[in-house]
Amino acid sequence: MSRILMKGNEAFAEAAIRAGVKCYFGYPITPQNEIPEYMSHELPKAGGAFIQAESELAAISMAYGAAASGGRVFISTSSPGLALMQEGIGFIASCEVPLVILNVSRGGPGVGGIQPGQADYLQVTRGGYNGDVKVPVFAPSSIQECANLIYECFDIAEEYRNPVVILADGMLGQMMEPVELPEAKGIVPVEDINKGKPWAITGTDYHEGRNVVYSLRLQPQVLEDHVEHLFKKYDKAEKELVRWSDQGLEDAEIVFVAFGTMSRLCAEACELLEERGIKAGLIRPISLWPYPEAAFDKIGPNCKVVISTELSMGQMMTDVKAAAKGRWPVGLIHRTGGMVPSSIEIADRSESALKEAMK
Amino acid sequence: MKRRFKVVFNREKCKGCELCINFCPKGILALDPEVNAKGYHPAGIIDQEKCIGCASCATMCPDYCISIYQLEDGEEYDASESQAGQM
Amino acid sequence: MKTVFEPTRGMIPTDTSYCPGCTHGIAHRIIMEALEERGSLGNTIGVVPIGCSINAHHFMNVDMCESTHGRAPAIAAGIRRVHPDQVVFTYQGDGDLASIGTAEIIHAAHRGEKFTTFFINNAIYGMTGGQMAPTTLIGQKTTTSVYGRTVEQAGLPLRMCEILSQIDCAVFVERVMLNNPANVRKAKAAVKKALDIQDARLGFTFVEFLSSCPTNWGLAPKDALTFVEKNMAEYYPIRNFKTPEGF
Repeated sequence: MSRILMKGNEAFAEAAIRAGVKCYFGYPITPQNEIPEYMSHELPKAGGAFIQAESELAAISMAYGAAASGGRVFISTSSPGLALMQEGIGFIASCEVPLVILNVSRGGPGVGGIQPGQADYLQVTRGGYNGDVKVPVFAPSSIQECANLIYECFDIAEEYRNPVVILADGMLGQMMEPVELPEAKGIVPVEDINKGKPWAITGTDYHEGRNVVYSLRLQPQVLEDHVEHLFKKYDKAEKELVRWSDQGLEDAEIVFVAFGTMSRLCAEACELLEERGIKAGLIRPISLWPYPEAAFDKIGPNCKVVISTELSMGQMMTDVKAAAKGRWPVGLIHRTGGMVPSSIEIADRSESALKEAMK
Repeated sequence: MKRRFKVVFNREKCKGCELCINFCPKGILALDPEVNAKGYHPAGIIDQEKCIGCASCATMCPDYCISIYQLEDGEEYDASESQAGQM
Repeated sequence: MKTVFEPTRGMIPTDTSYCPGCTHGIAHRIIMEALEERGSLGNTIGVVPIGCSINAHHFMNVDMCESTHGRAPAIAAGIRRVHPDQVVFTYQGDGDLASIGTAEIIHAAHRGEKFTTFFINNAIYGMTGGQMAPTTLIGQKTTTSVYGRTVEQAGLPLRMCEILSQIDCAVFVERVMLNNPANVRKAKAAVKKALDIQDARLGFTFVEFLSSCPTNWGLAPKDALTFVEKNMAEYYPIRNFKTPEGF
């Protein structure tokens, strides 16, 4: 398979098509509009179905219907659109229906801006839905990684019977990078849906008994049992879905914690700091939930400060502090509103943080 | 030969809403003075012979409690057969 | 002995959760009878709403899913994309369809979605205890219009058939009522026609059932049906609004 130069959003759409997606439902919202545009003409060619939904409320609902009836479904949106989908995400998790959702995040709050942001961290990891559910979240830092994750996450979503969110910031959606796309899987034919998904509502002729996809359980004990059942899945996810990458942790004085495009800037900042004689390392969470706490156990004895580096007001700080377990002071380098720092700015600010920590 | 019908009520399912009683054109349905296990007075038929088999009762029943059969020549009503039967 | 009438296999033989005399039971039954009679029970997928009939999936003997409030038409659109050949329907109440779900039902009609929506209009919110619905009549007392609905406070009630019949791709739009046996039979005929038109994949099909809510109206079941006939049908005319040629 050859590598081609592609715009992020288009690569993400193509990766989903190759993963055997049957349906895409989307509503235009910047900076991910290329995804519904690409899907509108390419997905039908692959035998799938596209609807430009009337809203994100409708899009997440269409996704639920298609997925509950056994189709492989991919949807995408950006931050305010994800806010609209929150009820649907929690509902879908309670109904145990698989779905892959890509959030190409932008600056907030409110309508905010259309430049990149990471201020959806809390929205995706904690959720704005009601009740006790968890949603695995993955944060790629390159177009290739995002395309790979999209391709892989359908299997994860179907294994766990849960929605999975991929958080890519606007930069990844809009930039162009060489990408090698995976082999195309076919769409599962209707008559074979229940082989892999015995629970799917396809019509009683296709399977044993009668299938119902639902979330209402009015008897409290029954509801508690259901939530406990969901959390057994999440316990398994916490063991099996943790991912991160790291560099230079053994002798680092400064350790950056950053995901997505910020992690690439931090990696560059590490090189700049090296030139200045300061050892710096990086923890790049790839799974935001479950959070890679184990990565912090690899930090060496020289570390003076751990710095969460984010395009938000520090939404990841709570998780970084929890993972740090008081072993090091935790600082924050942040920009917001769509402003993206240069690696020089990050290096300068981290140097100040180091000096502060050493006082 | 006049057609003869048998109406069978699922006594335990009935909620005593009286729609069947209200719409029976022959006025031969009534609530049973005895309650069922749910505490409702279920509907039943008080004169099978007068039933014309119009199925208005069954058409209006929201709880699908009612079954209606047409007896063949020589067949007799057997009250012990139906769950509610005649009252 | 010959069977004149027996409960349909389309209804699961269990007690329903509906109040005595609630017309949900009648509507459920005629829809499931229609599906059984056309041999569709095994290849039907239904979507239940938020409302009293969220429980419909305990009673209707087909594959079903719940919905978030108002979103059933979007959910059904998703199901239809995966299952081009199955019978698909939504079953919705007046809050679900005419309040929170107006965008979804209008766009489903506008896209000519090849499924049928059964709309149970009983002019009140049943499940939550009797609040005003978008279809509550002027002067009707509910828990959020205790002195009677007024135009100044809440506007006029929504006539969904009239709204949807203006949409080109809504090809079958009919309003029926469940107040007596003859009208229940006519309602069932409308259900069958809607399903036949769905089979022909001509566009969106819609049946509105004027229904009762004895408990929250504070009326005995038979008096509630009189209210449907005398009061509701006056504002919501019973008629066929649109039928495609050949049907």
